[in-house]
Amino acid sequence: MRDLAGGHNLQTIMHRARTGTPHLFSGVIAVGIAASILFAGRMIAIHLEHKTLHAVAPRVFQVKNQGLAFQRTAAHARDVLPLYGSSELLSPAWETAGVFFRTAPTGFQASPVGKVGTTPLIMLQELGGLGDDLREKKIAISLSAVWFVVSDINQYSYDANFSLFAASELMFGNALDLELKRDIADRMLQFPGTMKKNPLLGFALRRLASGGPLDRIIFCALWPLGKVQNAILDLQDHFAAVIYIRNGPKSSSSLHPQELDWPSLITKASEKASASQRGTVSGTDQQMATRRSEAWFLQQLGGARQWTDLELLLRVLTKLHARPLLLSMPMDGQFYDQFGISRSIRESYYNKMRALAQRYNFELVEFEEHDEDAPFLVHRVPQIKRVASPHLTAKGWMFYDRVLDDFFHGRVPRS
Amino acid sequence: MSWIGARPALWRALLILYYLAVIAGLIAIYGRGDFSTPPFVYQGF
Repeated sequence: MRDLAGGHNLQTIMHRARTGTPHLFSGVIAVGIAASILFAGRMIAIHLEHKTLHAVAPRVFQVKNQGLAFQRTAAHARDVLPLYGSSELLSPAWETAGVFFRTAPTGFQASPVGKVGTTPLIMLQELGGLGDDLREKKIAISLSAVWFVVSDINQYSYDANFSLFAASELMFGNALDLELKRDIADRMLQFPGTMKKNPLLGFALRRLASGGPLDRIIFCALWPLGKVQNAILDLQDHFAAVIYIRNGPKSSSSLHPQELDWPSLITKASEKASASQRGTVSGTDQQMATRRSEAWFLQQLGGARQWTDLELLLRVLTKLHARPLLLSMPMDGQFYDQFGISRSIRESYYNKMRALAQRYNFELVEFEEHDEDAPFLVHRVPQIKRVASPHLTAKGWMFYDRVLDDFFHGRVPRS
Repeated sequence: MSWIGARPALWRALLILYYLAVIAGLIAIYGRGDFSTPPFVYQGF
């Protein structure tokens, strides 16, 4: 009887709502229908992203770099190894990991993420934004030695890589603790230009960075608003992903296993790299390097802010329980020899990187023995020969590929 | 009483469609998001 009476009361309330406040009732129903449609659309988008993963994974493009949808799909796939790096990923050489592993010759594809100027501070935001999706996931991170001998990245470089969605997911997500978020926020606030795009994120970062108890409370009060923002950005991300899929690759890459003869592949790639470099280093080019003292080099190495950012990245990866492999491109020994920086001084870089990786118990391959291996790195065009080269040749990429293959299959990476 | 006032179910259905159209318009305007970035400026690496 009570249930019947309760049911009667509910009917009465619904009737009054329909007749008394028709706009409110209709608005609520419309919002409910729209939310259901968006939810269904999101599910369809995720299905499409998974379905086209093998066609999309080897590519590097804007929506993949700036959004998280494709990165998340790659993180979920067992046969995809995400590779985070910077401009070296854009090399046109077929030896580049994305292209080389596109047919999954040894059972996996590499999914490169990054572009010119992507540095550890950007990578940590993307990886932190993926959060728990990276738990126990193997990922590779390519580092440029040259980042660690300049004082800092500039605002333009950071702006050109900043992803609002990744940063917002990192800050309003649940994967990281407040202490780590505070340290990241402190660093992000050194690039205020990106905060103009999103006052909510800027405000939240300032509250986090200050670390005071009142600011913590304000940050927690902002949390639901941040979650709503993340939900909207997430929908926009999937929408952009669907548009890319519609206009982009129509069919999946055909995957087929293949026996790889690494020594032969490396020999061929070495010949190709040597042939393309032959005759490019002239006496005139060599004169363009201004000599510097070894003390200057050590000072640069000690003061580079990228060490801080790399350490933040390693802390994020530790917190997420990810299984990263760090690949550090060797220093451009040929350039530094001309520059007046000897091999023994350059050793400081390798030692410092090794010590940092060991502290976090992460695998590291430094390719140190290729420091003076000229065909390993692309040598700069004369106009910008005054700076060291951070790019790999076909040979360099083939060594990278072998390391990625070893890492993915659980073997000890050979450099 | 007007013609539509005498048909409350139709009135409610039209209102729901109206609000759905408003939401669809908002999604069309703001749904795409902005994944563009400023151009990169070479920084001397």
